[in-house]
Amino acid sequence: MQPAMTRLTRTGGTRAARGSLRQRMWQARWCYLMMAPGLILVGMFSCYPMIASWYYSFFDWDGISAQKYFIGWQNFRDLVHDHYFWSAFGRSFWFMAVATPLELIFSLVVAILLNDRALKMAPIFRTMLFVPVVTTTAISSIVMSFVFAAFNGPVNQALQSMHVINKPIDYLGNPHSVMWTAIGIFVWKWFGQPMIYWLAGLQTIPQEIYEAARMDGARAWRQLISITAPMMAPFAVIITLITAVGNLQAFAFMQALTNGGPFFSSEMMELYIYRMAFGTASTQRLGYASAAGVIFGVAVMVIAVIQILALRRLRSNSSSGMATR
Amino acid sequence: MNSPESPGTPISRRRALGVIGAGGAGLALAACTNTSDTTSNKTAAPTPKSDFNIATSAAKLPTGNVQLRWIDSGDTKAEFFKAFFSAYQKKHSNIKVDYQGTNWNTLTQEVGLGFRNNTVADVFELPLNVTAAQAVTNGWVGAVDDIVPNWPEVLKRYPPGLFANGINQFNGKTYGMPFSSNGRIGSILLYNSDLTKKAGFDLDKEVLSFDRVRELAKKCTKDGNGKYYGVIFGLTQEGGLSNIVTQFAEMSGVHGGASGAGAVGTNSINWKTGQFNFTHPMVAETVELILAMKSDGSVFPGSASLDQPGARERFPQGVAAMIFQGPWNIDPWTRADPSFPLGVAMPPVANPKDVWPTTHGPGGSDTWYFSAKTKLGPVVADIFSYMSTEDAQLHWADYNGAGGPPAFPAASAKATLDPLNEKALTLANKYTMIAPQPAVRNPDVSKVFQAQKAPQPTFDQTLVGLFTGQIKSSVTKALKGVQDRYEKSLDDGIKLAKSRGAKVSRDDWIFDDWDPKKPYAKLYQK
Repeated sequence: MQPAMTRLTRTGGTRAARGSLRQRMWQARWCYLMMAPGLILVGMFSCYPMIASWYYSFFDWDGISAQKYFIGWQNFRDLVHDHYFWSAFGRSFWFMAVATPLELIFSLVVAILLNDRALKMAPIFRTMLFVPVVTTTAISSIVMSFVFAAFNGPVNQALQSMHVINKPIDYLGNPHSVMWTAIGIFVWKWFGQPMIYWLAGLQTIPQEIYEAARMDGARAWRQLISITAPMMAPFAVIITLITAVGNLQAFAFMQALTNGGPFFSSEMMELYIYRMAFGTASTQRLGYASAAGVIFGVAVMVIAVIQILALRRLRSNSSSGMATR
Repeated sequence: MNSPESPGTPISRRRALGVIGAGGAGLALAACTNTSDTTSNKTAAPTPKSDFNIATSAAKLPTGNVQLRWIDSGDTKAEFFKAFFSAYQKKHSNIKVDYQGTNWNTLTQEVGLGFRNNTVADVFELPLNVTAAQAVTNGWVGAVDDIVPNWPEVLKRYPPGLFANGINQFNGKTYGMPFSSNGRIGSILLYNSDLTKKAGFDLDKEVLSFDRVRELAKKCTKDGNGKYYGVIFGLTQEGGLSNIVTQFAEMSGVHGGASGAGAVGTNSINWKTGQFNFTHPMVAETVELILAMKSDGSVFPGSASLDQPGARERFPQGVAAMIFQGPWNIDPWTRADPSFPLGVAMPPVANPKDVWPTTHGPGGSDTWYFSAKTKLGPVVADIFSYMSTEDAQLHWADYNGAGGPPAFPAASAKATLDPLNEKALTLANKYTMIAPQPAVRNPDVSKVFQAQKAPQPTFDQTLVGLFTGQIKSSVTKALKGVQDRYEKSLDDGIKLAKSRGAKVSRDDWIFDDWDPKKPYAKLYQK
């Protein structure tokens, strides 16, 4: 066997190797066939628009006319000087930075409670807490805009009846409170998703470890930091990545809730791109919006790469730790 | 094991799940409502005063069974078209009409996508993000001249200003059909007469000055004691404040208006000088009025987080005494609640003894186009020909009132409307004038509009920033910033268009023979 393997390594492709690759592919042909529809859809609705946006970002084009004008890097140069672009960019990452830990901590606490076998009707609570996730985003936003309305909104009425506030607060019309209100609603809407991921991870921890720890006198807090936290660490990296990237994509939510207002104070990158692409004051700039999308996409990719590298490092640390033992 | 039916025992998990599931199914069924159809919740439409007298046109109609698809922005137009198409299908039993009166967002998506994948309806209004020039250049719309055999005769029935080169006519042919006039006061004063009378104001007899409208708003807010306020706005939508400011300012003497709307601000130019109006002192005074009403506490709380439909929905619930929106709201409100004490009045002006007209461009308030790929040209021609008759225009007035005034002045004069629509239409006829439009005099101007980049922030966005306090500078300084941005936007657009071959200059925006008190009809004479 070894000489054949050496031949493969040296040459990178002998007749035996090509034959075996083809054979392997033929053996897995049903897998490729099953994956094909998904890949085609991803190609059509993700890859093609992404590549097309890179192309259009070099044009002055309104997205409607047959005529496009090639302008090179001008769109990118204009974006560098666009204060509203950088505000939306910063706001998106600020939103992610605030909403993500809130969502993760809240969902982890709830998952730990739901994972307790002593809790009756846990599946019902789990379902109820997951319902906001499956509710249509735009409808949730519209309903919440009524809940937080300054006039006769239930939240204001409750706070006024408890004498916490004297006058109603315009949560979504006040530039100082709109983003915090949006974050609160967003966390309420989406925390059920990481909660399910945490639950899945918690259920991989053998109960015997907890039993042994209890017999050794470890209390809940000690169990949490010595057993749960270290064993959940690999899950945490993945869940954080998924949650963080998901929190950068809040277009439908924000558009229905505030449409980026008042006066851009809740405008995030996707709303900025939408505004540029589909016009305000009768002009549309699809090329410019595409350039904004390219820059934002690169930034999101950088975050994803950083987290993947962190996950790899974590895994290699834990496997080298095991090897030492 | 405890029975779930025993009193005092907790409900069983199975039963709880069953109840929750049934509740969820009920909610799901209740949610299955098409909320995009703006006519689905209307109360009874008005009964037409006479039957449609659909004359036979010169078009040769098909003899086989055909279906025409028609989509527009609905509202009161939908009431007319539903009644008309019912009569039309009765007359021509082989022709079915699939009419869809929907909201602008749905129309924009459907028609926009329809252009790209060749599934667009036979007749449509253009999406808000597509200009007529673009639609013609891209070959999406057909020429009426090519389908209506006696088009020159039909065209003669229309008054000057409905059709104009560069607006709905291009290269000597007509593409858009304006069945309604542009002569409307877009931000008329609509008020709750019970609330204003309680405050001691009779708006049937008084044209409000800026001081008086502020006083009225304050008094109503005080009377309301938290249950209602003086005025309600919808600021999250573009135009929420700028439409109001331009209306008040133009009728107070800012010739050409100051809305920041149109093709990047064309509705904001003093046509005598060709300069934008944003730094006119009266514009600043109007903005100060709005801010003063806000600081008085007279503005409905949450106006900054409402869009205009949201404000419109709340006004008939009695949450505010006044709202400044279009006369197209009269019919939906009065039909939904005939007992609602709605009143219509002139918008406030700086000096009620010196009221200036408000201007509008050529074309209609709504314009219909037909697909260049339609196979039902004769049917479209037949309907367009009928819509261009006095009979159709009279019926149009019955259904649309002042919200979509008929294109024919004779129909407007003969229409018998309810008192509110009558008042709104009378005010519109008295105080709206057609203004110059540079794209009509020089078609290359439309290339400037395509090259121009919208300023950021726009005039309306700046007003919202001032309203919420996010723009901390003075009103005058903020308006100077707006003026500079719009001037730069136009100058840069002209420069770019010229580099692409357009023959334009800033002088195209100057009409030194313009008299703001007279209609500038000579540009549109046939």
